[in-house]
Amino acid sequence: MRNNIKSKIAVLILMTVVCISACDKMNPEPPVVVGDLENIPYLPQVYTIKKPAHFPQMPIPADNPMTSDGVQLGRRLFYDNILSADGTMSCASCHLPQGSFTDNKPVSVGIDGIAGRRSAMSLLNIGYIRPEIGLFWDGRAKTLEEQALLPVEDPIEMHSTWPNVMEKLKADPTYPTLFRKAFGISSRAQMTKELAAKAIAQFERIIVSSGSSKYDEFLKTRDFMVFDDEELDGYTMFFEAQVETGITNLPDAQCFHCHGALTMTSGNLYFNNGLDAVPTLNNFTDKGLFEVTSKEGDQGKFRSPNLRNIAKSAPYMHDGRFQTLEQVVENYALKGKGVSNEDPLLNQVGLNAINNTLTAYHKSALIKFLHTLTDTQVINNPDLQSPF
Amino acid sequence: MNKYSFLAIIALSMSFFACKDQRLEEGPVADFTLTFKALYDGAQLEKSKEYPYNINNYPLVFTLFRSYISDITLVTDNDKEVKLKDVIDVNFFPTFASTNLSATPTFTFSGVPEGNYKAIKFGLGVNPESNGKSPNAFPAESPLSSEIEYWQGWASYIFTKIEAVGDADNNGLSDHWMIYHTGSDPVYRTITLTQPITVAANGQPGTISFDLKKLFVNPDGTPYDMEASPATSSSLTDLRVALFVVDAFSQATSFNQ
Repeated sequence: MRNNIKSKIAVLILMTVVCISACDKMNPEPPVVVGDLENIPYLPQVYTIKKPAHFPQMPIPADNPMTSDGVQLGRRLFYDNILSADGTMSCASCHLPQGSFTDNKPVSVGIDGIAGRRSAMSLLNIGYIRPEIGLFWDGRAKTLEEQALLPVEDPIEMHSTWPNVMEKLKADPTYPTLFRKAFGISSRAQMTKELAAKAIAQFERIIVSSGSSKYDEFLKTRDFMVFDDEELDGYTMFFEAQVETGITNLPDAQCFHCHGALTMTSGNLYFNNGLDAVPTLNNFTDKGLFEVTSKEGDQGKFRSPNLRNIAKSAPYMHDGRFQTLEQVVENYALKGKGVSNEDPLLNQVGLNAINNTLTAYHKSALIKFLHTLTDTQVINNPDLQSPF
Repeated sequence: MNKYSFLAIIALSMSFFACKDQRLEEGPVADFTLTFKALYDGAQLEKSKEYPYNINNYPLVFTLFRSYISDITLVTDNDKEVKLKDVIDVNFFPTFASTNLSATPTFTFSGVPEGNYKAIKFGLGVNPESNGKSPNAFPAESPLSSEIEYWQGWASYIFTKIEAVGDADNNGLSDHWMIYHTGSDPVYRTITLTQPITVAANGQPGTISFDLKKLFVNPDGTPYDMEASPATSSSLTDLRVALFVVDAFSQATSFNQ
């Protein structure tokens, strides 16, 4: 009898267990979706930009903090031809380190052999350009993240589409892992063009002067002996530093107003710098800033570029019309063409010289000073070279 | 209860009431919004608009107007000062504005004690303490970290920039240029605008206006000859024009709420 009861209890327990198991199968838990990248460690390390001590702090957007893996992904994307439709062109095709991150061509040429309208701008110290200033010659992108999206789909540059590029990146054996490490995504499906642009922007922010140029040596020591006499005269005219240097018999070249002090990027932003004698503002071949703002007075205005490594980044101007620094300085010595939206400071070039005109020596000294901005260390910085 | 416990309770009670008293003394706080306007003869300044030059009436177009404004402070009736902000960069002609109308940069300051004030004061430029530092001394979010407005040759920030072009013979080409860039400690000026100001929750914003027509006027009321002095000097030993400009700002500046 006792055994019979035990058997019944055992059967009851067994049935209960079976029922519970059956219930589990009838109402299964939703399957846990395991991302195809989740097994790859995501251990973001803050990346600190290496900048000279006398350089200002670089503004970093809150939604794209710098990480080591982000920079490494950006570097690879920057140098990878995978971004172009036919796999022949990368960002670096127009921004080569040896050209101080330009291509040393009057205008850049895209994958279809079509020449663009404008010269590639140097990326050196590009991270210091604030959103209110804008990027490209005409300011059509506000941030590096915005900027990085544009060349891929430009028909006269990489002539691809982002969906196409992202498909290639997702199918690549390396990139999904790098995206995971950089941004913590859990699956390939989360790889986006926005993340690609963020990574490229992170890499571009580390393209910063090394602080080893002759000019930087002066900035660190404030010792005028760093310069030779002609360079010091050039410095004095460039920065209107007559009081600082004590050289009072030199004119003002007015350069620094548009080419700021430390990174030599942009002072007053966009200018008509007196290149073309157009009869009306509507006659500018390339309307520059106007194409973004649609304001009449912005026709023929372009962003003043970074002068760091200017001797390495010829040719000059937005259309690469000048091959040499001599031609550039000669043009400014003409004080513009009198077009109504020219920058007023053009007229002041050579102020306090005899007849308010720069002499051959003045021009030569300015060029000598510009050569003190040469920074070969940044050009050869291994962190900035191609990873391929 | 031993005497130490009793003393501890007394001390805690005192600190509680002390905190309460302090809070009462501080009173409620509110946001205070301040807008800056650039005017010409009372109307909002426009970029690319021709204004009559003050002496010969030829067309004059203003192309740039920006300034650092420092130590914005409200002053109570008993001369207590409440600082709103260390420094801001006020740019009336930002590149990407949607219209040619000068911008109206607006700043909201939080945690301002509610109440009535008798004046607002601010520095035109960068105060000597900050001006003695270079951009790398400031955090990236400070307007003083931007080296593009730093005048290395003078070891000074460029305090204020006003630029204009004129066309005296009316042929469509510029033939006159006015460039007034100020900087260096001797041209730093504090402007005090005495007027009742109320700070309250959902209160009225204040507006500081700079009227450029009133700026280029001599102390005797005659027009300032911009043609004769078209630019601030490039020499620290000759601040004549820069001093005129910064001193004239007090007559060109107004506040209303």
